[in-house]
Amino acid sequence: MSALQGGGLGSAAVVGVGAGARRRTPPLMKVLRRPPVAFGLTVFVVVVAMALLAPVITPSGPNDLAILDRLKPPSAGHVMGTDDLGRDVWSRVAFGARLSLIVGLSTSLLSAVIGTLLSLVAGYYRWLDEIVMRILDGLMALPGVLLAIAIMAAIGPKVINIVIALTLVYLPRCARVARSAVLVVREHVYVEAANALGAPDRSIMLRHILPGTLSPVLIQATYVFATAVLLEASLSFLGTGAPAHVPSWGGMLAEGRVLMRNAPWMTIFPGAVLALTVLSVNMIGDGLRDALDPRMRK
Amino acid sequence: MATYLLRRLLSMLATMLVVGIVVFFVIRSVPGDVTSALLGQDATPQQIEDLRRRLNLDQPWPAQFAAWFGGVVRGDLGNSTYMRIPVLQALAQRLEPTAMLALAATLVAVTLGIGLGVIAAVRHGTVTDYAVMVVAMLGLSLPTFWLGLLMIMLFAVTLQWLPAAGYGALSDGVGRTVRYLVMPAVALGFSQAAVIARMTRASLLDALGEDFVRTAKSKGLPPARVVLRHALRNALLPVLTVIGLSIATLAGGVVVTETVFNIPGAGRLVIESVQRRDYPVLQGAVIAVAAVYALINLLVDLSYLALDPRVRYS
Repeated sequence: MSALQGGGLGSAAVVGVGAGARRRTPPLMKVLRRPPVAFGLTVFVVVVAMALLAPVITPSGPNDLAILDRLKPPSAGHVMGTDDLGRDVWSRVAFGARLSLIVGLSTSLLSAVIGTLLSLVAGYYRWLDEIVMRILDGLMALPGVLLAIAIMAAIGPKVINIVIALTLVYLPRCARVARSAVLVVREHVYVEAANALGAPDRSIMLRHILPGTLSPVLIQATYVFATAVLLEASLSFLGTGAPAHVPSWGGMLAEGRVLMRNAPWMTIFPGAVLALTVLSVNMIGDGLRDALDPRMRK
Repeated sequence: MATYLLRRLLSMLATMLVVGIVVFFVIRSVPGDVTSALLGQDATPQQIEDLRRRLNLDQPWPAQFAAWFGGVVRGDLGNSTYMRIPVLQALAQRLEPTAMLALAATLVAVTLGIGLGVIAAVRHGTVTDYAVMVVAMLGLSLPTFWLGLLMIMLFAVTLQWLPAAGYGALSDGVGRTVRYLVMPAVALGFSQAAVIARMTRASLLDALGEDFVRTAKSKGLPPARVVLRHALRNALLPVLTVIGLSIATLAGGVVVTETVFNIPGAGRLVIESVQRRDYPVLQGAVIAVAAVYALINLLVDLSYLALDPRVRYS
């Protein structure tokens, strides 16, 4: 928590909000108490708990077949019903949360970290800037779904490959955000001063420029989390995402689509949990933006 | 202006080159030999040799890339290994449903997005504003394919108002096409409408606080005219940029939406090509979309000229 605030105040100072303009109450805490943000945090914590406790809170394994219990509507034994192979939908939804969260977290973390480091180096050594940005522009010149499908088609349906494909999709977007921050920060007098004092390049980049990029990148990373969860579900829905034995919300929706008339619960529940998860992360993202982006402060 | 256009076209070509390299290497990274994937287990060495020569695989990779990209620039995307026809022809056969879907979804996104954004900005701080923002938040978070499935359940299965899936060709009557397109276009366009609505609201709120709006109001102009002619026109520049990005997202989204609604378009062709390991078609489709995307961006930048006389490109 304190790391987040440090980033926020650091960037506020950079943009020229003087110390006197700081409030007594940390804006982050205030924002966290707003109803939409509090709602988002609560839902997100529930989804994380669902993923962690999946084996404890579900009646059967996500891939346990029960042919006699095929296509049963929701009941006390199967709160979300069963699918065409008799698998418990609730178990698959709970275990599916693991995939979504792992993919969302790894993708946002990797694209934020690599994107920031790349833009630090490119923004500091200007000759590199042109090359790196051209390559990133090329990656950004494709709709994310299409790029991800092409990469998955080449490297095959594995969970680690989903993370690789999605990182390649979102890395350029994070790098863009970080780069615009680097371009502002590197012109500040204190960077020039550090340079004049003979500080090594690495220390200028990491200790003087990096802090100023943290809060915009953090905000961006939250949105990447939300869209990565959506994109993974889309890929799995299309059959180019998670492998068949890994329960995924998108894959469940693809199975439900065919049986929509007989078993609507196969479509309704996984989709609703997916939508709620993405909604919660987006709400947290909006809250972080209001708290950390100095332009949003009144 | 002419030099600006020339420079933009050149930089477009540079971006396409990067896209080409990315796509080329992604497809080349397929584990194992493409030929075994295409011919199966029982291919004779002679067949493999022939195919390798036909796909230029016997050349070193820079030569392979040069041959392929040279063709792309001239409009030759190679041949489908599965359908045995030129890739461009395969794409063209599937173009109509995709183009109509993208057009209809853009229409939904832009009208709904700007409309809701203007309403929210004008009613700033009221329940209406709050409701619009909640709808926009939902639009950002609902997966398009789930929204599509829910709409099929309600409007096709339960109420039976609209066809559940498929596409009605324009040659069979425009009314039929529209009936088939309503649900896919709304499902696909809704999320981008949300993005556009948020941007329109924020941008219009800024513009409404400007001096020239106060002047227009104090001249006694009717409020609707102040908002639409004076404020909105100035607020539209950032919105246009977002619309450009939205169209690109929609172009990718057709792949998912065409699968949900069983529309036989170019997006389905991409998925079919993945399943058939028809890499030339996949490569060609990706390159084609990148080119369309680059053109849209150029058009967006040019439309700034029409909207804001202060913008000059040289």
